[in-house]
Amino acid sequence: MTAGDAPTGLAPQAAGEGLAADVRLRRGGFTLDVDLAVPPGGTLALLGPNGSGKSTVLGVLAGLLVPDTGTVVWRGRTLTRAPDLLVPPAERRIGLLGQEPLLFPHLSVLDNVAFGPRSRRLPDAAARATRWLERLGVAHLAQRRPRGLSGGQAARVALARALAAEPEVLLLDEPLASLDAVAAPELRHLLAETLRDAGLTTVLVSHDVLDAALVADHVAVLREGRVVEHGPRAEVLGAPRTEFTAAFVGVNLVPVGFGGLRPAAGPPAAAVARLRFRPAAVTVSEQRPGGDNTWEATVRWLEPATGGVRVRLATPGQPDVLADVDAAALGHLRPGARVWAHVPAESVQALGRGEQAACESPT
Amino acid sequence: MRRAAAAALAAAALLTGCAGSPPATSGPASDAADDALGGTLTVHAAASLQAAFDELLATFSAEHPEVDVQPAVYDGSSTLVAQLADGAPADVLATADEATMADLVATGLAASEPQVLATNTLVVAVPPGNPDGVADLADLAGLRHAVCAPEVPCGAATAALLAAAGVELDPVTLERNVAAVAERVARGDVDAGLVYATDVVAREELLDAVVPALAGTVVNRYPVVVLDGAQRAAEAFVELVLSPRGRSVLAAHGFGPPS
Amino acid sequence: MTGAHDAERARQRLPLGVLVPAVLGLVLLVVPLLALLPRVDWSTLPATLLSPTARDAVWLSVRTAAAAVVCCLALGVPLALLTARASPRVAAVLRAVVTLPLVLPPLVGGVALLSVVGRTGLLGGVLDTLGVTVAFTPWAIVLAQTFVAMPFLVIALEGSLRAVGARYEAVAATLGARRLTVLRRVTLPLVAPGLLAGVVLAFTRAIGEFGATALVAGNRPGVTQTVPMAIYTAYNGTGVARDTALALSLLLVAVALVILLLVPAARRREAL
Repeated sequence: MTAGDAPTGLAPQAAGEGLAADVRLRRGGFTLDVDLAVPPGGTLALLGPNGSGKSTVLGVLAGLLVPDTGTVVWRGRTLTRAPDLLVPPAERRIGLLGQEPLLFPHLSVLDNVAFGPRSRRLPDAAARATRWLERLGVAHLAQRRPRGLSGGQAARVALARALAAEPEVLLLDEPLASLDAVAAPELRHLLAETLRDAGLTTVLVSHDVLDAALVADHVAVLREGRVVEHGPRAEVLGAPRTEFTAAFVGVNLVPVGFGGLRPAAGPPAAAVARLRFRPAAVTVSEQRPGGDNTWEATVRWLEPATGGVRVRLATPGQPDVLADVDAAALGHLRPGARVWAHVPAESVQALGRGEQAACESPT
Repeated sequence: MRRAAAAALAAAALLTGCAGSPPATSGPASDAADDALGGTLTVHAAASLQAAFDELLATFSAEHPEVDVQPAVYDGSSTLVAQLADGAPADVLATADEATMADLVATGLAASEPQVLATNTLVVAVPPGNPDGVADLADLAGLRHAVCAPEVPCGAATAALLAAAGVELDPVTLERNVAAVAERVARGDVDAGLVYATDVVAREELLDAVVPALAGTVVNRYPVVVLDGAQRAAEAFVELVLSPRGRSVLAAHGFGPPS
Repeated sequence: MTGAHDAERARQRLPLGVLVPAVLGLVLLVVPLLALLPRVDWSTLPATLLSPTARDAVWLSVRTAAAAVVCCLALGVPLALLTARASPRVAAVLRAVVTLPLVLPPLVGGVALLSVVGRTGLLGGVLDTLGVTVAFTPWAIVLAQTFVAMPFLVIALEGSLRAVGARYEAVAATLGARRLTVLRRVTLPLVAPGLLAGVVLAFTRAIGEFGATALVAGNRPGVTQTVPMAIYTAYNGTGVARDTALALSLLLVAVALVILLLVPAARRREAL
């Protein structure tokens, strides 16, 4: 299946109850053309590199941007119909949380969080705000000014503020992007919990696949303004169909014939288009090991990975391959070193042209 | 001081826009004419003298081409005296009353005794045709009218005239010089104003004059004097102004005779 | 002590080539004002300032300038918002139009205003029919002051608005705030410093305005004689009247100084 006509992955009836956007927008040299749906109560992770249009999609959903053509529908109510109908953001009950917390600098933390309830004229705004601050563990900051907060604290307050406004849909635009290595996992966990408890319909935009893995139940991949993959999390992340998504997810996807690799089983050789294997299955050594499924490569660079080091191996004219290696086994691996890589046949999956893998390994 | 004055004159010429005065002659050309006066001539005069003095200066300039006649400066008499006291360069001063001239003499800038060149009396200026039917000063009470501020000679004369006539007025504005009052009436901002007879003559198409009964009792005398440091051209000009020729020009513009 | 220390550090950072012209600039602005002081007759100063002429003029100037500032806010804040959120081309045009009164000599501004509200002006007939007079009343002063002061407010505020940007407003909208609420609770508080600077500039400009007010409001002691007009009128006399002019000038400078120094200081204290 080509990138352009990725299905929404949902039956039309289900889409009618949740959030659906079918829009096109052209700005400068960039064209956005997406058709997305999120079931009510579900969380969709929208992945893609910078410039792929993720933030634009959120802007359209929130009502801050008007598409050239198309509609945005929530629970059967049309919120946007270009070019004549645009329900203003203030009336959509769609919250938006961005990369920067953007806490109002002239208000205290409590007044920031109470801003939503006050704007909606809900009673006991201060009490509601305090409850949300408690739930996110930052109640002790209530009287502080945003200026004095750490990145992690500000992100929690911003989340509390967005949730205190009691939206029906929550849009998150890379909310963890500005957090350090300690604050990010904490907030990711908190986010997952809170979203689950609140039962909100959510769209989470990220360029970090970990966000999708832990928080979302559906995933869509955006590239150059178009959706290239869309489906339940397990499918998209566990079995990426395009090189692009594979690289994203951190799985190796190579064309058939790469390094003379052979899978253990699969469709007839003639029908195989691509091979897939995990970085953890790759071993790297300085001497050529015996056996098949071995090829020569150059170390491009090393990245930290959980419990070890991720090595990026370059082969001229071929896509890079990732290999996860124990720190102890690093030996003389340095950028520029020539090494031998090996992956056992059982770890290699064969993919037919545009088809799902014949053997899907568990996520 | 002379060099600074020359520089200031050049600047003033640039700012006011030379209106046809001959270029500064400071070389061989000035020595050419016989009995030549040479030098420059800067006249400062009360606003009401503008039309008459422009004509006299043009005549003077035609008869004495070797003199560089600078554009004259016209303003309220007290403003002129204040500027001169602050160092503005001028050769001749003519004010709209003797009190203001006395102030100048007190500063020591006068080169000789001032002499009266003309007289002026007050009239009520009204739009053409006198639409409000103004007959005398008392009629102004029901109209929007403007007069000169008491600090200027025209204002002092106005106060004296009103006192003589026993009329009290509440003008809507006190202007800094008499030309401003005339402009207000001409523009229609106000219905009438107290100005000099000469101001109405100067704006024939725009204004009509109504002469109050007691106008002749308050006469403004216009003295003229040559200032310290002026050249012979200044004396020659004052001579022209005081001559019968000068007097007839002044009369044509509405001024009364000096006596 | 920390203040002096900070100042010391700051001075060390600026190169001489910047410091020298800066000091010269300061001298140019301050010395003429200081040069006025020896000319003042200090013995008669209190009597002059407390005279009815002075009191009337000061009271008139202060209340008309205050009214002018209110008008500037009522009209200028929306105008600044319009300009800040407009497309670049439209904004450039709006900015140019708003700057025009700054370029016009005040007298020209006065004639222009008279051409509208004077008896023979555009609205002259209408105003007459309604029995309303604007020219030669304190309202004319307010009009002239607003005309010359509003550009300062609009330009100062528009700069602030552009600097702050629209991101906070977008967030506020997604939190459920309608447009007027966003304006009231987010936009204006965020540009408060720029707004304050604009107000201060506008007030001091209004209170010092002379040329346009002279034409459209005239000069009527106790009714339309503002401090600048009183200064000019006094200056036209000689001797004692000159002293009054100087005294009133000093008063004007003092009033402006008070406003320019105290108001920002008050705001700084509140922000802490």
